[in-house]
Amino acid sequence: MQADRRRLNAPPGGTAPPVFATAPKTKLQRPTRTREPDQHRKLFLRTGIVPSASGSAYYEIPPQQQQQTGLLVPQSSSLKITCTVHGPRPLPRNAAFSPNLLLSTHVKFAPFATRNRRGYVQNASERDLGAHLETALRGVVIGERFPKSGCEVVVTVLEGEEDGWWAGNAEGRGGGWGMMGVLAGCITVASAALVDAGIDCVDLVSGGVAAVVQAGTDQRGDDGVVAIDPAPSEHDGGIRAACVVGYLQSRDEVTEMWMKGDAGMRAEQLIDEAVKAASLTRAVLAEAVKEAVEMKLEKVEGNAVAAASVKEGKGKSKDVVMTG
Amino acid sequence: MGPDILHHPLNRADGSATLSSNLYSVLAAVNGPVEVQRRDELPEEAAVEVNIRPASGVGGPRERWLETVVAAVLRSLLLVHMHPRTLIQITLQITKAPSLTLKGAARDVAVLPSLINAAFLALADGGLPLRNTVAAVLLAVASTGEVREEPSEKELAGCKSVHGLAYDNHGDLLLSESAGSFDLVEWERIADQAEKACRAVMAPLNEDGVVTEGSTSSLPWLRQELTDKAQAAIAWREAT
Amino acid sequence: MANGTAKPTGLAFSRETFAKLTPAPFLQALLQQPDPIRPNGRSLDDFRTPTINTGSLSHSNGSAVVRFGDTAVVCGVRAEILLASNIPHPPSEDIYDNDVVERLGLLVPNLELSTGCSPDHLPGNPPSTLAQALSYRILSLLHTSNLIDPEDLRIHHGAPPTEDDLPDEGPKIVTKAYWTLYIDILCIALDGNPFDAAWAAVMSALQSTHLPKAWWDPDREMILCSPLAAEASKLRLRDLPVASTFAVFSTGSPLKQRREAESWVLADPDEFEEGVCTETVTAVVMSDGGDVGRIVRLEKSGGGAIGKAAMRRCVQMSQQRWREWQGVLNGG
Repeated sequence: MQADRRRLNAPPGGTAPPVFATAPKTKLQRPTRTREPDQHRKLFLRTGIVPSASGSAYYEIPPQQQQQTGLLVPQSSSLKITCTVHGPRPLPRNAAFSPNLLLSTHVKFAPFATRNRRGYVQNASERDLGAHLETALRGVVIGERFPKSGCEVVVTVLEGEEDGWWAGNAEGRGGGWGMMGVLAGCITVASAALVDAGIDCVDLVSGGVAAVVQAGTDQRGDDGVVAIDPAPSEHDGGIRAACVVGYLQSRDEVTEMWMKGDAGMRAEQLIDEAVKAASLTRAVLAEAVKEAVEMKLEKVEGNAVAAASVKEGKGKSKDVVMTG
Repeated sequence: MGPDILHHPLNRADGSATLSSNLYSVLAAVNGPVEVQRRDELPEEAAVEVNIRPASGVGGPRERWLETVVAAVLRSLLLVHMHPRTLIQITLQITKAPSLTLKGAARDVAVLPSLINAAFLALADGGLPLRNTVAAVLLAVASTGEVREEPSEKELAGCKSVHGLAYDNHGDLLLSESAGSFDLVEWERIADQAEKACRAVMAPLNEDGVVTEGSTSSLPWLRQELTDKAQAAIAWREAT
Repeated sequence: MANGTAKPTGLAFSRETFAKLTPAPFLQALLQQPDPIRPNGRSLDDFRTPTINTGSLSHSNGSAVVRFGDTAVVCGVRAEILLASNIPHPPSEDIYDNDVVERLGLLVPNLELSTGCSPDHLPGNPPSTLAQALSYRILSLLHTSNLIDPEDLRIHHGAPPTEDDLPDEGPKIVTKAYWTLYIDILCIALDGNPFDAAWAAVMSALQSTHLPKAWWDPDREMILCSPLAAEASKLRLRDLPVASTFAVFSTGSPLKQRREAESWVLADPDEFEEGVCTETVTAVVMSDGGDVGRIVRLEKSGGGAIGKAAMRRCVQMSQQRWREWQGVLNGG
């Protein structure tokens, strides 16, 4: 990579990630899927984590197996995403008139998000994710209500889903299946942040992902199983196809769909399952949003009470009013 | 003593100066007040932009950091409110740097006094309205505890801590950058010595051009420079 | 008023409006009270209480999340291998040992502000001057404080003796490679004072860093690492420097008499205060073998309000804070 004049660079000799010697075979146990095919992993969602932004949210799927392997390399993958929303705010003076809210999305992986260190400059796959996210959100935001305004949705992936099992064969690693899971997470977290920012939406959009996975190892005639929320490292038979949707449950609409791989006859079933996954995340999303609103209301009420009680005494010293 | 100074080496800049001390040579150019880009425009004062170019190669994060430090000092020195919605641009080209590779922090601190002095002379040359006169000095504490003013390259390489300080003519501390290992008492001693040194270079002269206050070790070169400049500027009047 | 009922009052603004319209007079009005309280409710010397979480990132050798009020920073340390044979101009043998880390550039810190942490730093642009200056200050401080023993970063290999060697000499130890630590710092939320938070995050992350056991495999001619956590060694830090930043709010102006100027030193400034203050002081204190807290870096620029006395107070507060932090950082 060419040296970046605006950053501190690696030593001129260039560095390589460590290569691990093969550990004793007994130690290496491929993570397996223990939940049912229609079961989603546990996920954690919270809004309002960045006070300096108009809206923000944090999304996490904690790693599945917590058992001590005694290895330095993590066995199961996890997903940690933060999202901030800035806006709606006026467009820069040189921008052309726009009757709608101009939504721009930006997805970036942290350098330490994946097994191989990433660069600071956005790469093609990150830009691709950004474009997918934008289509997912555009159908939800009521743009006409914010003419001449812009809104930035910035997603930072602190820890990304892996594309396969790190110690597995090379074919399991490629394919970019992890990206599908990341996109589903991005849609959900961005939706929560938009709500936190108070931007009018027609519904809550939530992301869901499903995949056709090979059940056994290498059975030619096997049709595979459709499983929601696949963790690529858990499916040793490999993933044949996957589908992400951005889904509006109460309107039963899909704003974004991304299908990859060869689903064959099961394409329709795959979409249905992805929608099901989105409905499951929607429950968590609605819960998080509701909780945040309740907390906000409590705070407002609490403030009102506090303001009434300290109207006379102590509050005075902190109260500075400009008169003129 | 004092550094070698060359006045107005650049004809097309509003103000310029070259300053060579025993460690660094800096060519400073000032343009201003000039038109400012809209995004940098400040409604009530002039924007101050400092560009630092290293002796070799292109600048990186280090130069950006040095720029922020120098710009902060110059902003407190310039009467920025007199030229609102304009830009004062200062370019500092380092033309000579010590050949011996100094350790990081020593290298960073050591260049600052030269940059500040050169920038000040260029600002004065450009006739920009300034609040005060400023002088900067570099001090190094040897491992024996001895304090060296304007240390040589070797002394700098083996020192325990380096200090770059700038004082104005009221005795206000405008810049203090120190690195190494030292304690508060040591720093206060250094600050005292630096203040004395800074005052000495701008100390008033009596009629014979002899120093009346301050130490004799450092001549009031800055005062001398400014006096010469003022005399040169009114030379046409004397001639008629 | 038009309806004639309200008696004419002066223009009065709420606290928020006052702060937005004229931030400097607002801050001045608060600070001029007999018992000054800053807009964020803190007193002048109050630092925000930090919370630190380490080891939460699974793909890093060491990591930390540090939160100072509304400023939050994530730091991940990633170790990669620099082969000694790849170094273009290897330093000579007699190089002073502590300089190796700096000469080879084995520490690579980078601070990223364009993560959407504040509306002033939106992504899609190259790193701002602020981000670059902060990255460099962290690098410079890492070098000045000599935190890491270069021995910890070396990967040795005992080469088998050749015929030229004297028979009674043991195997010759050669440094085959070095660990390079990429220290990536992401600012997740920004409400002032990014330097202190970033530095604390770097310290905690480095403290939790474990380097795998590595050796030179002569057959495959490469460095191999052991995946076993039990064989990994913890990175040792020689010291734990603590950075404390202060902002100075001054009413001085060239239009006023010098003696009329008043100034206040605000510890750990937030975003609003940073916007109003021009002068800043940063003191970094570490033990350096003693228990008083020696200064390793002192930076001050931007104005002349802080003299020797005020500087003394700042340094003393930093030393006090350093003492408090030893518990926080050592406790993990």
